[in-house]
Amino acid sequence: MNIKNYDYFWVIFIIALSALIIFGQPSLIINGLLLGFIYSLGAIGLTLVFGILRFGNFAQGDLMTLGGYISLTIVTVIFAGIGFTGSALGPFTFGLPIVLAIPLTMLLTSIIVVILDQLIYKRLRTRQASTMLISIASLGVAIMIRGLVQFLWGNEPEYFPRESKQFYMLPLDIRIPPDNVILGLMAVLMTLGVYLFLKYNKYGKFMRATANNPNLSLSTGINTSIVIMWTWIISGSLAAAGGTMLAVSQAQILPMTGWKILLPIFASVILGGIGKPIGALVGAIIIGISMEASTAWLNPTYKPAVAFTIMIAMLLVKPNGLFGEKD
Amino acid sequence: MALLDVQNINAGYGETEILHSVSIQVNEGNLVAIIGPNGSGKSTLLKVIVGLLEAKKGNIEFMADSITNSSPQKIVELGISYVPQAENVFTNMTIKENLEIPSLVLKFNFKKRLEEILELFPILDTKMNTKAGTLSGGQRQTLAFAKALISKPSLMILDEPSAGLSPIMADSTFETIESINKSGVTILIVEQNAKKILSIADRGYVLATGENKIDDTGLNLLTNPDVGMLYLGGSN
Repeated sequence: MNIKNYDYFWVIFIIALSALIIFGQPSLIINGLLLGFIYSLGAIGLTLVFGILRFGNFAQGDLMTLGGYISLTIVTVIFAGIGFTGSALGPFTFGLPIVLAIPLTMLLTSIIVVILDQLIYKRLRTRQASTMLISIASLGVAIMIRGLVQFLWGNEPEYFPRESKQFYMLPLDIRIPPDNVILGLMAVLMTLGVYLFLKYNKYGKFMRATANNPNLSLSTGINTSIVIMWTWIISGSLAAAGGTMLAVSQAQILPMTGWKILLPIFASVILGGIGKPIGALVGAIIIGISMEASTAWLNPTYKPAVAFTIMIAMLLVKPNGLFGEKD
Repeated sequence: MALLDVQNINAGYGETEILHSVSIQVNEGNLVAIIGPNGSGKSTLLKVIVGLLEAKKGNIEFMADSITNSSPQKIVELGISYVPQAENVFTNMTIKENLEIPSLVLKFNFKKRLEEILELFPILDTKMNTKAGTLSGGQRQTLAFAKALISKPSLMILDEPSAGLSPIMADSTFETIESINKSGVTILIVEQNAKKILSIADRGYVLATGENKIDDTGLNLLTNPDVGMLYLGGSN
């Protein structure tokens, strides 16, 4: 990693952050940080799939939506059906059912994405379809998932059971919803878990090797089918957790929730360097903070444009991203 | 009986056939070289042997068992290590991680083998936590050899190991290959530097336009005027 290559980027970013704090909008940074952590869950999955399978998975946003709805169903139908409702935990707006629904949703979504891979992507790989074609297929999967969500849960917003709670009030007039603290912490722990998996687990090492050089992995004896399955399991489970956290933090979920954050997720991946999980995390944090911080000056409807602008700027200045290697 | 027996292999990419009924034999303990002009199908043949490319016709036997069109995983499990011409180390991983990968695949005692392999390649010992991507061409080649040898293969297959190296590094690489072979490892090697490799090879095969042309001992091939005229630029 050559720091000199992106010194200017960090300088501009830190000046912008300092300006926000000086001019009295530190809450935006804190809330943007949470948004960044949630985006990072989608972005790490996206970048892992790109690193191993070499295609941009346009279904990642809708997988997050699906994860959110599966959590909602577990909480409001299954848990409520057996009388497990639970009141809100401490300062948070949600109770134990949502906390327990997250791992279940991660498991279910992992199974769904592995099945999708076997039914669609694996067949395309076997036929040696181009990565462009597989990306287009993922767009089809995205629309299919959204259609399924609309069919099963309708087009109206759905709400997780919640109770009103006071914000944390910190110095400098910083107001933070307590949910954001715990959700951010959960996202960080999951990201850390992925990092440790990639660094120390046998299959994590195989994933890094395959991302670096698929042919050498094969000729070294690595079973790339298992590597691909692990990639989908991690990507799907992170998308499920991210989608649920996003729905809980926004207090509602819509069929378009995931689709709307697909652009910031892609922007995060490109900013950090395609195929780089740490880059996706850093990229997501920068995108999250920038999008939230922009509302100090811009109408919130322009937030996606901010992400888009950062993505285009990075592509023009350093196409390989902050953590990307030179070709 | 040959350790590796490649019989009448036809193979290629898509509809294009590169190899036409190519046969080679590698006896245990030998160093066997494949030479020939660019585009003669040398590297393609190695890819077919290690399972990276499908054979359309023919048979490949290793230790008298057919391995034709076996998966690369199966080939590695049987004891064949392959070092590709380029991009033969995982550049995003450290030297230690590169050496560890075969032990994770084949489930052998990594610590014990690591000590042994570092005795053979002491230059790697001081850089164990260095990313392979930061190594020089010669150091990468050393790491690629160490990575291939750490699993104690019965057969080591090398694809143009001197390509892109300085003359000094190339000489050092040939010395290493010779010493690996003398330690008892059978080697099948594709090499552009025909004079160098034939001088140390037990046997050599000359391929051209995807066909067997000449095969003989390394020294005989070196002095064969047909080889000289056709493939060594007219000199011996």
